[in-house]
Amino acid sequence: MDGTEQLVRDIEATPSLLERALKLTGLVTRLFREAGWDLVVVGGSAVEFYTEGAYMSGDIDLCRRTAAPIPLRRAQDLMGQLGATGGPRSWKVAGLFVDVLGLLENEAVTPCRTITTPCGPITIIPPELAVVERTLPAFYPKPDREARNVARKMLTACVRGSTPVDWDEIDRLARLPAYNVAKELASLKKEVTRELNQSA
Amino acid sequence: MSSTKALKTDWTWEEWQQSRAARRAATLRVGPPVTRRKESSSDRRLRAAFKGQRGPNFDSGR
Repeated sequence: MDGTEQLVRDIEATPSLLERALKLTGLVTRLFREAGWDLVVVGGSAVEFYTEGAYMSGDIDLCRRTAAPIPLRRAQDLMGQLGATGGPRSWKVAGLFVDVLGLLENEAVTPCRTITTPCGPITIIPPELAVVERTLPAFYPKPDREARNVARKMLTACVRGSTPVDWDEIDRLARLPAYNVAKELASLKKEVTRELNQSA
Repeated sequence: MSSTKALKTDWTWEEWQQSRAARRAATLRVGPPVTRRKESSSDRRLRAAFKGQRGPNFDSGR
């Protein structure tokens, strides 16, 4: 068994879903970085990282920060090194799905966050962006309880400081025409702050 | 921006692990313990792979 195969087996045996996902992302990120592409965690895994809210599903969504597209054959060969099956944009490996979606759309000016996993460093979209992105579907196209719960958890982690954020940047993003949820976000923030104070 | 310089943006694995419980405790105060979506466009492959669920179970210690 070679080193990579052993790592994949170790990842597969990791009991915590989020830890497993982050370690696998570390391995995938390292492979693609060595090949010339930087990847960023987006979607449910990013929300899970920031909230511990039991939100993520069995897939990891990654976008590339490098402008150059990844040739599908190259991606197949890279993921093949991990024993992944499927493709050419979504693979199964270590008991999880890994999706490499496309170029990252990130309006935030605050930095992406990084964590150095045992399998290598990974990059995650800024929580400021995640908060605003999760607030949008909580209210539009119509109020959605599931989405609201997730937005509330994102805001709570930020309000409590367990996920440190730049509130000015959140406000700026929320005011952008692309989101236009400043009022809704402020109201939700007030709501969770009040609840946190009441239960303190 | 007012506070970017003070923001913590990089975690070691150990720092992150130590911070997990506090984050989980905070978010548990404002919503259900599990917020996983009930459905998405990936349902077919997820449910086929995870015994009818949309993903594996979360931590046993949760």
